[in-house]
Amino acid sequence: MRRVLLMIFAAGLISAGMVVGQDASVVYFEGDPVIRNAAGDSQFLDFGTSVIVGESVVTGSLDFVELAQGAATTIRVDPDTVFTVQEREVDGQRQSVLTTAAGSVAYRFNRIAGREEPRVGSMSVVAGIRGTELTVYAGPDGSTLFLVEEGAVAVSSAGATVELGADQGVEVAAGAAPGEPFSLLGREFDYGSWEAGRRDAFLADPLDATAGHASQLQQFAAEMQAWVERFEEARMLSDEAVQTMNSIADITERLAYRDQVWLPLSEQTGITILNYRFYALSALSFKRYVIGPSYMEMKTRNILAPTPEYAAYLEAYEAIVREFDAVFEPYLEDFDR
Amino acid sequence: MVGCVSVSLRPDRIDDMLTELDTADLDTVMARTAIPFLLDGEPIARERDVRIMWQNLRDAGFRFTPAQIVRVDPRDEASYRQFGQTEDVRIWFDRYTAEDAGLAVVNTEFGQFLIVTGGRERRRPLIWGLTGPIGSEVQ
Repeated sequence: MRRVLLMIFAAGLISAGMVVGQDASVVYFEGDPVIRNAAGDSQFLDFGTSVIVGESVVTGSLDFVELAQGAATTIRVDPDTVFTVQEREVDGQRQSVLTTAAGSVAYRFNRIAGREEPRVGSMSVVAGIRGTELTVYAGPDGSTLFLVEEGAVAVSSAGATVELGADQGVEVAAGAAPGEPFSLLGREFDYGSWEAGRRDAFLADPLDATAGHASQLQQFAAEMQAWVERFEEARMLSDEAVQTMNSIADITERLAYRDQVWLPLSEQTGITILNYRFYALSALSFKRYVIGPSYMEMKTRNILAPTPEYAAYLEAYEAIVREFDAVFEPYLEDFDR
Repeated sequence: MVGCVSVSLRPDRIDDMLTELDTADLDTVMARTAIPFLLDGEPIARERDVRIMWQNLRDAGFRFTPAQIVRVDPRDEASYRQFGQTEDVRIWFDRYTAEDAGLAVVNTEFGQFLIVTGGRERRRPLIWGLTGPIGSEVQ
């Protein structure tokens, strides 16, 4: 299956980039960053460690990691960041999606002769890139900030798209359309200040922010359910094909049927699983790195004297948790945590 | 007999741990905290967020001591229900708690809390999770 360079920014979590037929490997690191595999096990990473689909790089406050995919792509994982490689299939092409679940990640996609230019596509926030150097920040309230240094990026979310050129940026609130693009010229950004601002914004109106969280989860749920329905249909067709195949007496005809009918159906079933899992895992990541920390902020600030505002927040938060359990848990596995 | 009991199940060691959590600098507190940390029903997975949690608790004036350790039980299959009824909590208890994990019922001046303990750093257990104040105090 051909892989293309892609960037996908899922609302609230920032997703970015496609792996181009090559895993990213660690070329430099500081501190004690860890790599978490698809089975949920963690270990310290080292020089040369490959990061493959399903794995995450997790940095602490003193950690820093630089990854490279040959000469094509450089990825800088900043302190206090969770960077995950996901996978899904779009238009018949399997895409490895590089996701900033929390913190900040900087990307440089170099132009390589013969390589397909990066494209982007997703349901909530999408960024198509062309020869781009950019940084993606994931805020504690679920906001995403794109800062483009070189190249061009198209950011889409909630049905709206904005085009960014060099020295432009845009912020996308959880579950919302992209904001107005702004110029980076004459402005300096650092993640700490931006994150503090997003935290203050959450605390200023936690109910509004929580409504955005709920909206984001609803978008994930809608995408996931659409793929679940396609999965059920694909599985039914695959099961019927198995019955037909088993009823064919002639071995040559049976093998031909297997190759021409059943195998494509089986592959289609696998694709639908891959895609509904993509959205279920995105929802889990959003809960882990946005909703959970938001709850922590409210709980610890109100632990001695809960306010009416906290009570209202708690009601909204508990509704989200109930919805999450009902909608997403059936499609998650223990090893996803 | 005391020597055979894990520090994560010993009330005196847990009391020492709580005192340190109240008085030590944040770097030390972080070194005594397991990550992911379970706060009520939410696993807090990022180091930065756990640090914010402790800072917020201090800023709010919260402290554990003087604490009364009411009871310490070894973790069992039903322990997670005291933190939450979700899969997130069940799997956190299953995957991330220490083999010698304990569940301490602690009375503070701000109410009663449940604390997950486990492992050890010198002669004190680490704190792995916290929930409370819980509704009806256990004596």
